Formats: sequence, structure tokens, C-alpha cells
Amino acid sequence: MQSEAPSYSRATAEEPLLQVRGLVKNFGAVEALRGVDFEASVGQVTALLGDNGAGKSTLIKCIAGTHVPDGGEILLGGAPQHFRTPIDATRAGIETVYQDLALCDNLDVVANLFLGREEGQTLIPGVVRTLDEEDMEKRASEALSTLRINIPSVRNQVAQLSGGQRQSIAVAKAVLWSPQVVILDEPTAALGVAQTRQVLDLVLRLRERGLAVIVITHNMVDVFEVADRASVMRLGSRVASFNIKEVTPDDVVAAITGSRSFETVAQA
Amino acid sequence: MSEAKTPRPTVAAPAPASIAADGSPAAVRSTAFGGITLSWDKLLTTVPIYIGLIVIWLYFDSQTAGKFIGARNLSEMAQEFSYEAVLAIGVVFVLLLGEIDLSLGYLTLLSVALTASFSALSQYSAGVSILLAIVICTLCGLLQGMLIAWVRMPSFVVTLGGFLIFEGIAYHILAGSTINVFDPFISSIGTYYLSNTVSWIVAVIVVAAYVLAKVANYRARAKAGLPHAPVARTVAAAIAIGVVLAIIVATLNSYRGVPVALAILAAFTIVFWFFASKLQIGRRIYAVGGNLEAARRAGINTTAVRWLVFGISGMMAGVAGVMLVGYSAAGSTTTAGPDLLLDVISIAVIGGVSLTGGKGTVWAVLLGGLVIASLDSGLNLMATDPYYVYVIKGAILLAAIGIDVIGKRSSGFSWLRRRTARA
Amino acid sequence: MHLRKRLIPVITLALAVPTIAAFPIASHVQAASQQARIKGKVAFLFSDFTTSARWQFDKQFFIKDLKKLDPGVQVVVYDAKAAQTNQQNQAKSALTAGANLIIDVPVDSAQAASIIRAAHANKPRVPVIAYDRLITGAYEDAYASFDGASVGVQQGNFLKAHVAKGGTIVSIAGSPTDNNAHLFYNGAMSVLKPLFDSHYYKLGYDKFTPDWNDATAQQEMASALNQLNNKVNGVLVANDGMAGGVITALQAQKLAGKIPVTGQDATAAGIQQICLGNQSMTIYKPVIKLAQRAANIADKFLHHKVFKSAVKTQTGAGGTPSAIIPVITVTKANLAATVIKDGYVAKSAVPQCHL
Ligand SMILES: Nc1ncnc2c1ncn2[C@@H]1O[C@H](COP(=O)(O)OP(=O)(O)OP(=O)(O)O)[C@@H](O)[C@H]1O
Ligand SMILES: [Mg+2]
Repeated sequence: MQSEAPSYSRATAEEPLLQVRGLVKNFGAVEALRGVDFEASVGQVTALLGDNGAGKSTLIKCIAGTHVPDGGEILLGGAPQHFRTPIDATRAGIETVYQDLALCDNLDVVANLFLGREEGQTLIPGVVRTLDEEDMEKRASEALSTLRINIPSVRNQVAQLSGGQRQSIAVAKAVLWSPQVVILDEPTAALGVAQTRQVLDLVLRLRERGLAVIVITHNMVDVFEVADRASVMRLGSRVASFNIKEVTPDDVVAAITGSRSFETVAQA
Repeated sequence: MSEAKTPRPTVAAPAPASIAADGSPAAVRSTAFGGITLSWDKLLTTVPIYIGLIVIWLYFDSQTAGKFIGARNLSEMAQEFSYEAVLAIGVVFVLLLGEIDLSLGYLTLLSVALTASFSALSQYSAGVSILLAIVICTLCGLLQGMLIAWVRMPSFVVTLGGFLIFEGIAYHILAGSTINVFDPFISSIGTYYLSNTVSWIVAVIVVAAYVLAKVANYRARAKAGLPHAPVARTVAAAIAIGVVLAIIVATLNSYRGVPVALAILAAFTIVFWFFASKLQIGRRIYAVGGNLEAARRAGINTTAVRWLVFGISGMMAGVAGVMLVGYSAAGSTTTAGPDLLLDVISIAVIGGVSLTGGKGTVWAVLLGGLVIASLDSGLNLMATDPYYVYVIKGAILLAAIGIDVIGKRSSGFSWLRRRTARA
Repeated sequence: MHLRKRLIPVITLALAVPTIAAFPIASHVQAASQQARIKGKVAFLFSDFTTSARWQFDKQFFIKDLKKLDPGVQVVVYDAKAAQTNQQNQAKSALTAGANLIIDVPVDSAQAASIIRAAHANKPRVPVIAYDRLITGAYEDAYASFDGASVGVQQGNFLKAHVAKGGTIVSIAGSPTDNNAHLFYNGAMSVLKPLFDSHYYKLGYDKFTPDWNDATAQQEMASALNQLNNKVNGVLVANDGMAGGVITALQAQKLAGKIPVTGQDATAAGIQQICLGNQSMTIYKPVIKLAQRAANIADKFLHHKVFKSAVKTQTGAGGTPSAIIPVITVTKANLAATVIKDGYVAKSAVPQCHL
């Protein structure tokens, strides 16, 4: 895996890789998403912003296949997608790092990276296939070094790792399968300064590798440090979309709080 | 927003970063090996058990004029308690999921009732009786598993229902009476011994298999370019296993040989250890026990995993019941019961299986089984008042759970860790 | 599982011991059967049918005998499923349904007193017969049971007769939480203890067995044999179930059949072991006789008469007139004439006996 060189030339692709159009999701009477548009391009970090309850998590859960939307469409490379389960989204090349990381603390790093996709080898043909620990360990080590994630041993239990390391492992787990889109839900929320730095560097590295990265965050500093674009949600709708280089933090905050309205929701 | 539908952009697969080129500390050093890491927590949770075991042994031996650590008593101990350890294998899997199976005591009794009545009343052959009993118990386990995994009823409630249902069926079959089982094959399970030569051959095979597996493992790791544990350590481990097996076989042979029941336990332990640690499904059981939601999101069929585990639990109850009939050559309502449940949970917990799921191995049943067997056997040998037996067993269970809980708290043994780190 | 046994209160038969005579008094109710046909309803409250096979016999024999005396009387059988509260409710239902007589096998001897109080407070007053187990703390109108105290005595006497001087005896008693287990043990020790004290015998191993568990009994016996280097000359075992375990342990040392082993309950399994020569004796409680006596007493109450007996059992609320049925030591020699003849164990259930 991961043997080809990234093509940075396409990082600023004309057409966004992921396009969401008019997405609607209701939870009973709660209109969590009211026709949301959203897009993410390869080689770009798109920040998804908004106050609590704005609908960010709901949106990415629809993209990740956890929720099935009630209306609208999700296009990947122009092709409409109909995800029923997270596996469908994974198969289409969308990996999600949930806020809770979804790691098994009781397993080691290798086992976590290959969770649900363990590699096997034939022990008795047609009867017994055992886990191919060597291959998994090798690939895990390679993947971690590619992302420059530093942990003492890939055989350490995840429970023994620091918050930043755990977040990194969760990201590595997503990236291991060469996805096209990686979604990170509040990746730095629980981290200290140094560990936040680690994870932001990791996000930048994903961008370098030509992935479409979506980051949900409440942290303005993070946004201006890593994001290329930002979409702002409020009360289930997208209210603004910026090219980060063209705006100030104040503009973004104003959009989030709704103190200023933004006429144009323009794509670069 | 762009309306044009252009062809989907190609995303190149990411390339490996140049590890050495930029000189960053990127290379992940793998010091541990094959999942074996020596952590302080692990040592601190198992060492007290070993010390406790040694203390128990020395105490009983001194109280019984050396009878306790005698070949005969150790042999009888193995024969008497192997079935409990076999039953505990099922419990290990259930606890790995963080679930509980309260029905096990009576499911074992159901197996006892079925085996005894098929063999002695229906006059079926031993093979048919044993197979039917195990299959029916497996189905019972699967049935409970279905309610737990598919219908999503709490295991506590489902197996409490099973507890009553299996009790009722078993009592109905036995109708309050004892059924003597005269079948020699069934008796052989509980009362026969392997011949001395066979025992030695098996021991040699086990050591050889260990060595071969290690060699294969070294080869595979070398091929994958992975570091491996020092050869000396593996050689030492092989020698240690050989010595321990030799001592066990020699000791048991000096009485009557290795009890068949113990051989059955050993076989089941090895098979299920392999199942749990070397197969995909085993790994997934740990994953489901460690983080159900994560496992689900990773695409693991958590329903099937949970279902399967309760099937295993039922199957082991079936096996334990057969072994129990083999041991006592009879089946009655007082052959097994709910007290068994406490014993087997103690066995698993003492062996290091956590009640909260995800932690522990099948080997637990050997260590835990040895502790419980030693206690029962020693107290029997001393003819201790049963009141004390209850108290002592309860205290040991609490101690084992306490160690588990304290060990799991991240700060649990930190003061000790710090101290030793400084030293 | 042994809830029932655990709940049996301390006093059940212990109080009965000093007051009962060795033999039951000849029936006062012989003539009752000749009386006119009456109608009525008898509620028979059983503790539970699942843990012991014998209650089915009690039920069948009682109904058969009572129908002979009073064909017009209906017997309604209840199963408390080992819960005294169930039985309480069943008693209330029975009274509401117009029962004329209650026969009760209490789950819990002390708690069952409330059944008596409810029955006596009923209009009209309904008499209560305590069956097999005493009800304490209230005055039942009659008590019909076996001579439980003599079970242990007969077991002890058997060993005394069959173990030579200087022999070593092992005792495997019943559940330490079951008062009956202590009662049987004390009965046996009333015979054996003086012999131990005078060093006529040696008590080599002495243990109560939680839950009467036969697998545990087997482990205890194995330990005892180990501890005593197989020098054992007799085993006092409280019941047949545990005797089975003890025998398996003896077989492992090739000692089965060479040492007297006692038992109790006259179960089919026990009789099988007796015929195989592994077990020496069992205590047979002739349920057929107990049921017959109870039917006679019931007949009396149904005719609004009172059951009188010189044998009184202390209930804590006065001496209850009692019918105490003696228990029988069964060996290979007399099993055909007792257990088999009474139909308590079917011939077909014990092919080992070649009857
Ligand atoms: N499963 C659900 N059932 C019912 N309502 C839900 C569910 N999930 C989300 N909602 C509602 O939908 C709305 C949007 O929630 P969402 O979690 O998407 O917000 P968010 O932008 O992620 O907020 P935060 O920043 O706090 O994570 C909220 O009003 C929330 O209560
Ligand atoms: Mg959210």
C-alpha cells in the first residue's frame, strides 16, 4: 500500500471531491439539517464550524454513513452515494475519526489499526486462517512512520498511550486504508498544547498527501493554522463558506454567532 | 458553487515518507514481541496470586503432614476440579465481552441430567449421550445468546431466566432422584488416567510444537523485517515449559498417571487459547469486549460475536456436565448447581480476567482453577468446617476482584511504579 | 437449589424427639371409614415437587387412600415451588375456594404458622394437618411424620453392628445449613460417640457437605481416604445421593464393597448400589404408611371429629397430637419385602437386583 507518490498538482482541483447538496436530516421534530450544502476538495483542509447544536456532527455522520439522510444528496467524485452503514462510506473511501476515537483500549496499536479488517494467512488450507501478525505489524509500523507518529511500540496497548498518541493512532487507523476523504471530529478538543501541535501537524501531513480533510473544531487558532477553507453552520444550515486566507478570525466568529450575515457562500 | 460535473479527481495513494532521510525519529521501535509486554500492572496483578498460591500450598501441606503436596492428592485434585476449569473457559469468553452468564450452574446440571438419562435410562451409547448433551447445551447457550445479541436484552436478565428454565428442565428430567451411570466410557472421562508413556509423548509433542511455532514465528518476523525477541529468552521459555511439564507428568505418573479429565482440560485450554488469540474471530471478541461501539463502527458483526460467545458458554457447560457425570458416575439434582457459578467466576477473575470486559486470557482457568482446586482440596483434606469454606472463598473472590479493579485504575499502582522507577 | 432445606427451621424435629413414643398409637380413626358418604374439599399444600421424587408418592398414596374412605371428597394439590410466600397465597386461595381441611408440607416451618392462623380464623374453622414437617409457633390440629430422629440412630447402629473393634469410621454428613442434616448426624453420634470416646472406634474424618452435593461428598471421601492412607472401616453417609459419590471415591481405591456404607431415602440409585454390594444399607421411610395415616386423620376431621393421640409433639404452641411412622433399615436382605413390595421403587428401575 501507499506506494505511489502523491500528486500535489491536483491539490487545488477545480471540482470538489466531496459534494453535499441540500442535505436534510430530522430527528422527530428536530430539524438537525435543513438542506445543507457542503464540499471538500483534495489536498485541502476544510474546517466545519458552528456553535453547539448547529448540526456539524449530524452532517458528518450522514457523510460517514452513521445516519441516513432524509433528503439531499452526497456526491463523491461526482457520483451520488447512498450510504446505509459506516462500512458503505468506508468502502467508498471516506474514513472518520470520531470524537471518542473508537479505539479498543484493551488491544495493542496493531490490532486497533486493523480492527475489523484483520489480515489472515492460511494455516490449514480451507479450514483455518490465522491472523497474519507479522504483516499487520509491518504495515502498521510503516504507516506510523509515514505519518511520523512516534510511539514506543506498536505492540503497546492503546490504553497505555497519551491522549495525543491515541488521537494519532485513530488518525493512522483511518489513513491506513488509503481513503480519499478523512473526517476528524474535534481532534484537538481534549489535548494539551504540545499534543495539539502533534495532531495539527498530522492534519497538515494528510493534506500534503492529497487527501480531502474535514476538521470539525471550536478552536479558531486551529482553523487559521491548518484550514484552507471553512464552512460555518448555524441551526442546521450552512450560513457561510470562506477561503481562510481571505478572512479574519473576527469574520468567522461573526458568522458562527450570526452577528453578521454573509450573502455569498462562494466556492473558490 | 460549481455545477459542472467533471470527472472525479484522482487521488493518488499517499507515499511513505522518507523515514531515514529527514532524520526524524519516525521509525517505530518495536521492543515488545508477539503481544507479550512485561508491564508493572500485569506483574502486580498476578504476583499476589502466585504468592497466595504458594502460601496456600505450604499451609495445607504443613497441616496435612505432607499429604497435600503429595502425588495422590494433586492427582485427585486435578480429577476433581478439571470440569470447573473447563466450565470457566466459557466464563472467560463471556466476561471478555463484559457480560455475565448466570445460568451456567444449572446449564451444567442440565447437561448432567441429559447425559445421565440418555446413557442410563434411554440406554444410548456413550458417544450419542455425550454428543446429544453437549449439542443441546450449546443450543441452549445459543438461544440465550440470541435474546442477548439480537433482541438486545441484558445478559443478566436473559441468563437469570435461563437459570430458572434450565433448573426446571433438569429437575424434571431427574425427577428428584439420582441416576447411576454405569457406562465405562463415560466413567473413564472422570476416573481414568493416561498411561505413563502416552503422557510423556504428549508432553514432548507440546514442547516440540512450542519450539516449532517459535521458529516459524522468528522466520516470519525476519521475513517481514521485524525485530524479534532475543533467542535466549525463547530458549529459556521453552526450557521452562519443558521442565514444568516434566515435573507435572513425573509427579502424576508417580501416582497413577495424568488424569483423563486433566488432559481434556489441557486440550480445551490450548484449543480455545488458539481460537482467542490467533484467529480473527478471537481478536474480534476482544474488540467487542474492549469497545463495543468501536467494533461496530469498524464493521465487526458484533451481534454474531456476542451470539457465538454465549454458544461457547453453553457448549462448555455441556462438556463440564459430561465430565461431572464421568467423575461421579451418577447424575442428580445435587451434582451441580448455582454454587458452581461462583466458583467458575472466581476461577476466571483470579486468573486475571476482568469483570468489565476485554481483559484476560484463556490461561486464566489454569491459574484460577489451581487456586480454587487447592482451596477445596486442602479444606477437604483437613475436614474443615464448611462454614469457613464459604467465608474463605468469598474473601478470595473479593481479593481477586479488588486487585483487578485497583490494577485497572490508571493511578492504581502508580506509587509503586514510581518508586521502582526511581530505584 | 436447597432453599427448601436451608429454610427448614431449627426446631422441626428436634422438638419432636423428646416427646414421641417409640411406636405409633393404634389408630383411633379405624371406624371412620364406615361412616356416611360426605362431600368436601381437602387442600394438600406441598413444598415443592422438583427437589425430591418422593412427594409424587405421597400425593398418589394419599389420594388413593382418602378416596377409599371418602369417595366424595375432592383433593386439590398445590406446589409452592420451594417458596413459603407461594404457599401462603395458595393456602388463602384454598380457604377462599372453600377447603374443609388443609394438609401442609411447609417450606419454612416457622413461617407456615400463619397458614394455621388463617385457617383457624376462617369461618368455619378449617383444621390443619402438618405433614412430614412440623409447623412451629402455632397449634396445628395434627402432625403426621416419620421418626426422623431414629434415622441417624439406625445408621449408627448399623455401623456398630458391622464394623469390628478398632475400626476407623468416616462421617460424611449433609448440608451444614440444613437442620435435618444435624438431626441425622446427632442421631448417629448418639450411638457412635461413646464408642469413639472409649476408643472402641476411631473417628477418622468428619465433615458436613454443603448442599448435600454428591460430587463434593465424593471429593471429601477421596480426601479422607488419602488422609487416612485408605485405612477406613466404615462410612457413615447421611443419604443415598452422597453415598453414590462416596462409593465412586471408594471404587477409585478398589475399596467399594469392602466397607460398610450407610445411606438414606431408599432411592432407586441407592437400591442399585445395595444390590451391587457397594452400599450396605439405606433408610426407608414408608411413604405408603404415612399417607395412609394422614388419610385416616383427614377422614376424621372431615367428619368433624378430632384426632387424638398419646404421642405429642411440641410445636412451641402446645403439644400437637402426632402420628409418627417408624423408619426401616433396608439391606439386600429385606429390600424385596419393603421398598419393592410397597411399589416405592419399581422392579424395573433396579435391574441390578435380579428380582
Ligand atoms: N440522535 C439524535 N436524536 C435526536 N436529536 C439529535 C440527535 N443527534 C443530534 N440531534 C439534534 O440535532 C441538532 C444538531 O446536533 P449536532 O450533534 O449535529 O450538533 P453539533 O453541531 O455537532 O454540536 P456540538 O458542537 O455540540 O457537537 C441538535 O439540536 C441535537 O440535539
Ligand atoms: Mg458534535
